[in-house]
Amino acid sequence: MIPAYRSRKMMAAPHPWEKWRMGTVAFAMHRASGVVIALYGITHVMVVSFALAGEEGFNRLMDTFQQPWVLVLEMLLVAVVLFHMLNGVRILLFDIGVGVRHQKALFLGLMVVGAVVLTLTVIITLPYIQGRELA
Amino acid sequence: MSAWGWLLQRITAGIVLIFLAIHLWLLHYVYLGERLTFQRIEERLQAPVLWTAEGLLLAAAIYHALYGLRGIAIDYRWGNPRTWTWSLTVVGVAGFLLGGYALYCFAS
Repeated sequence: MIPAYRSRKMMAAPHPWEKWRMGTVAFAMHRASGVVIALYGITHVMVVSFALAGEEGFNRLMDTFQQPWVLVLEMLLVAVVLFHMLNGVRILLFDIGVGVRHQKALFLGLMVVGAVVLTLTVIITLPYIQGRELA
Repeated sequence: MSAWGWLLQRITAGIVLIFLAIHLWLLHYVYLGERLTFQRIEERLQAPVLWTAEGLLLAAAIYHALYGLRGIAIDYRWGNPRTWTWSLTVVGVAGFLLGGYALYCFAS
């Protein structure tokens, strides 16, 4: 489980994974969320490609994916995507040398933005989770 | 190879950031509450600007996702990096052709 980029000399220093600081947690969550989104993305392309098999079957498939319990899962997906997107913004800013000194405040600020967007998304989706018919 | 791969990972991150926001806004938020059907998706994707944007999102997202997975595999020393590179390239090209063809079916 030792990442390849660590040389033998660096082995003496504590491994980043040993101390669960904010940056470490953000790094681990970025990877975990990335894997989840990649798996969703592969499924998404495959599901949409069922359109090639004909309109009838595709419409029936789309109906199964618009049931309330799927919408609940989609809200979880929105949360995961928002985290990955906003933490990604933090990484891109660090790459151009912006905000490294204030990384904790930047992380928390971006997470507040994410929480607000997630809340708004849940609010507009809630009626359909509670069973409102689609037009 | 590696430095360019890294740079392209950042560039595709920016593309996905912008075009995923456009995708969610113009294809989902605007049509909130409408039942999804083949015909409706067809109508939504008629504008050439929109399906071009979708195609770009597809390509950028596939690169970003697969380069990320490759990075994790190499970090943990799972398998051979070169094997990951070519096999994921095959997966990515296949995914783009599949998704691109589905997009073409809706747009044309």
